[in-house]
Amino acid sequence: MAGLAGLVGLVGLVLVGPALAPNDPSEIRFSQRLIEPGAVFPLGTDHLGRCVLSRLLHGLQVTPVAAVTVVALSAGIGSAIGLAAGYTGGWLDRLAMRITDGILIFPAVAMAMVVASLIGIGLTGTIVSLAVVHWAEYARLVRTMILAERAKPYELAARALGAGPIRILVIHLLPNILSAVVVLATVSLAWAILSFSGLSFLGLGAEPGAAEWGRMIADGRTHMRTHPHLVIVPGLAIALFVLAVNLLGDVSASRQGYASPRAKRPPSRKSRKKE
Amino acid sequence: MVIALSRRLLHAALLLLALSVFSFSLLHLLPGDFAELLLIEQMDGDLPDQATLDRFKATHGFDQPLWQQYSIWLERALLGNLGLSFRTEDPVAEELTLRLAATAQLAAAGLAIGVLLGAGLGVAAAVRPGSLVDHAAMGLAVVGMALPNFWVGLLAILFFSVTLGWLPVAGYGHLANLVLPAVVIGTSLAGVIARLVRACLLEEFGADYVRTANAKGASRSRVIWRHAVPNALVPMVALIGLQVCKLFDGVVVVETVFAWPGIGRLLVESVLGRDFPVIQGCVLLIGGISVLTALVADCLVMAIDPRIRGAV
Amino acid sequence: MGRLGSVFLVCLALVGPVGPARATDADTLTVATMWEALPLSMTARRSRFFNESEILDTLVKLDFEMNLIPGLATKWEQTGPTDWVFSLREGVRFHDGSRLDAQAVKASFERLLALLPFAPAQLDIAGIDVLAPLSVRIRTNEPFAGLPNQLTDAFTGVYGQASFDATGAFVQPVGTGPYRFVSYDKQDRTVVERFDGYWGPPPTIRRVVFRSIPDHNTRTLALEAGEVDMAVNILPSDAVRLTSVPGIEVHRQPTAGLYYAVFNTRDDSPLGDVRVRRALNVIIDRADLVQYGLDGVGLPAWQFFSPVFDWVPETLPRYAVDLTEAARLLTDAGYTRSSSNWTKDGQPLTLRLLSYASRTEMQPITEAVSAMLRAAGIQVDIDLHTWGGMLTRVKQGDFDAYVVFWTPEMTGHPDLHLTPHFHSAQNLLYNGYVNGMLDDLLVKGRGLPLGTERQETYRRALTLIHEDAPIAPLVHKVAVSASSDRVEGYRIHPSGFFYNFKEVRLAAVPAD
Repeated sequence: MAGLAGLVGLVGLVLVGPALAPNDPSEIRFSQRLIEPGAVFPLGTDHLGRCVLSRLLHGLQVTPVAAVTVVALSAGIGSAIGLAAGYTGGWLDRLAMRITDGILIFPAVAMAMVVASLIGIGLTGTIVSLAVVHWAEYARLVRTMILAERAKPYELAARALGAGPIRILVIHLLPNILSAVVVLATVSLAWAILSFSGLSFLGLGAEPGAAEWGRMIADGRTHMRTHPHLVIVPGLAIALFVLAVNLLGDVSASRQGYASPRAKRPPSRKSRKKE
Repeated sequence: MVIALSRRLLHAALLLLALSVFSFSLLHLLPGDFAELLLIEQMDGDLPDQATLDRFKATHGFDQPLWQQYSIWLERALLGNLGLSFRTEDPVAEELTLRLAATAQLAAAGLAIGVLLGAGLGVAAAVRPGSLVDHAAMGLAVVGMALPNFWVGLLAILFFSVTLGWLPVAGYGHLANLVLPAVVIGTSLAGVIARLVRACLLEEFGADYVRTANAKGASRSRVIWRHAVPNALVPMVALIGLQVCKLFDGVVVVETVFAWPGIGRLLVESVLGRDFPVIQGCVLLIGGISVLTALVADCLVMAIDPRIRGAV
Repeated sequence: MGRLGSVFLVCLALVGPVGPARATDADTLTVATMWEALPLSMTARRSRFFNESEILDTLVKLDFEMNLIPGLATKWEQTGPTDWVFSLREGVRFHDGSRLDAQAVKASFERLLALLPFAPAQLDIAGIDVLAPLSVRIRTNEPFAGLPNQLTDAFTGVYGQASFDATGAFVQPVGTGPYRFVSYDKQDRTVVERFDGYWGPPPTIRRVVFRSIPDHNTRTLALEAGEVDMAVNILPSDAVRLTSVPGIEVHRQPTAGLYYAVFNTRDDSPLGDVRVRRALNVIIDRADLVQYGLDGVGLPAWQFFSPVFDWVPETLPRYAVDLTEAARLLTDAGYTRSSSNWTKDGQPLTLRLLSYASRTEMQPITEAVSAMLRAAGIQVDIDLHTWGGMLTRVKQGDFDAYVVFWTPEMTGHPDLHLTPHFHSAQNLLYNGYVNGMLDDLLVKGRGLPLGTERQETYRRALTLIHEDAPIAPLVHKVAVSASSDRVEGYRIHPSGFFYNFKEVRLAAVPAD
């Protein structure tokens, strides 16, 4: 329940956030540049006189949305490949798994940078690049799940009853796999937000002028010595958002019984008393 | 054992081959006439005429068939000749070697801090699960994982270098320069490692032999350090081995923030400056190191735990 | 957290003994540069370092008012439409002790024409003849009045024979300048030392260390921490801040560089209409651009040429902010202002504006320009790339306007700026701009000696450019360096590529 509430809260924040902005996020006010936080501009203005708070709130629909796109692309492509590989087996499976193993070895963000240098630096290029290096995680997960599920008796029963492969896949296997994919998705959403804002910080992600958090930090650097809040505030936004996503991920993972070490027992209570 | 090892080696070799093809094709996947683009870069914005362009293509062998270009390129690469940087005209191999030392320093220091800090937090948390220490350690880990490392780096510069004046802002060459970037990388790793260590340890605590040891009346610290930790080492080494490859992602950003002259910054500079021979070199180097690290981690796991020798 | 604390303590304990050295050597000047010196390559940055550091001398030089002055050539004269004779300075020696003579100059030029891909097109040299031991004749392919000016460009520095190996490949710079090349540590520093056989007055500083610190913040902080004596290419925001830092002196100097927007004059762009181009030129407030985009560091550019060129006629037309005029021009061009936007056939007037991010100033300038256009009812889509990425799109004609920077090197002749930009055959700008009358004027001016006819030719050419508005000049660059106050006698050269350290002194270091 807490997970659902959290999810609704986050999505709500992303949807409503920009509407709460007190000012136009991209309006340049030369006469009011670099002013300290106050009534009109609650978090002050940046080097071009743009309202920092408004940019932060509008940024809710840049970085997180880009990250969700990355995750959706990776999950879609990766799951499809994992499904195909796991279900058909044979040489296709081996080939697909060699490729995913290969991709998973490499540092993803560095490789995404290389891909971005080819397909073009910018919002779309960076999103696609991150997906290109990230789908393998999903392919491997889904393939492993499929193999595990196929070994279970109900699949055999369904097959014996004459259900076609598509039917088995859709009705029997997918629901089980889906929940695992959702857990991985929250983990990779946090990763995608950090990676995307990092790449934007390096000048590869969002377009200049975009109210993107990583980009705001990069822009704030030139006036960091005199106006440190231009760097501090957007970073805080990234950190809080990722934190929220991570906590959400922990909640959903433990609800579904994945990776929940809390349930395990420590060395016996008795021995603790001894000390 | 031998079969498993040779299969691993074969996979690694295939991966390296695929890596070389990818790295080579980087130039040729560019839209448009890449030779012309590269020449424009080199001429600092002036536009070359056709004769200059033809001469450039001929000297760099860009007028030959693709497979031939690949075989020449690969042969040279294997001999350590990765061509010349388009920006500095220095041999790419030389550039990479120079930068590799800096990155190795930073990565090693960062990893050491990360492992020490992460293992410390992880063990502390696992020993008393559900306790205040556990909650605090895991809370710290979750927060640590959520912080963008480039931002932490900038804040560290603002606080420790500008405000307090304790450490140099950025740069390379002195031990003092290493402190901030290594701590930033270390703390960003520590969160993940702490969670891994805790999970692995708790897994072991649930195992039969721990209960047996407890039942036999072994002291708690003996149970933890003599039984649980060594057994948890296998998954920890495997998982931390994976982190070593991913470590480079953090290095890229941190090197840029701290003006650290390593491979990561070189990659950023060459991507932004479209210096493709250097990008090729970086891909080969980073990829090669990743493949080898994964191989070593696998071998380590095999060596530590004979049970899974056949299974890996 | 105990471990974290101890890690910090250990780290801090290490700081004291190994902290970076301070620059206090009375004989050594340490300079932090943005671009690495790269002394072992001729092509890197068009050999600028050899000129900046004065390892090499050029035949002709520019003084601080951008006038031509003797370098290795004491005088020069045009002896025919395409012939120039240069008399060489007597008693000049290269760093290896060999003599500078006509033969050495001829050999040097032939080497650089062979080794530098861009040199043949830039110099237009047909041949070089040795007339006497200290006299060379340079023949050009076409009449080229700007040749002496072109010979101030860094890449034309005279190389001693010892600069090349037996196969003719470049090894290291051996020149005639006041400083000789000593050592190079890749990605760290390049060291030059005083050359005692220098032909001019000997420099005071014995040794100059050029440290490569590409990151802006780091470079500035290295100066503030006393690790270097001087830092060049200071960010505008730091230029303002450093002014109030005690012990630091900020040097500013208008240079020949220009930030400008190039308009796509082809018919498929809204800017194919000259009235729209003119309208843009009177909408953009250059004074505000400098003030707010560049923290006041720069000079508003109302015309193409920087005021550092004193041969630009006073009577030239200049743009000025005039929103009424802009509205009139846009209305004439068939646009109507509905609500806040200018529209034509129901379509809002929208411009695709490109620029590149590797030059730090580009982004604020581009953003500020687009803000001004938006405020005037013109929609702008900004697209920032790397230099190469932007150029690819520009060459495909995929733009309405793009913002770039022009570095005119050492040259002080109008032709060397105007022909590459505006002559339709060169079309460096890829903006489809063609004006036959302007082409003729530029060809004519290229062959004319200094005088009223040349003045008039260029006045007419510049007036045509003003009227056709193929570009919007935006900001004349003001170069900023900062030094510790022990550096005396330093002045930024307006060409932007020359330090003149031979006239700089270092005050004694106070014992503290």
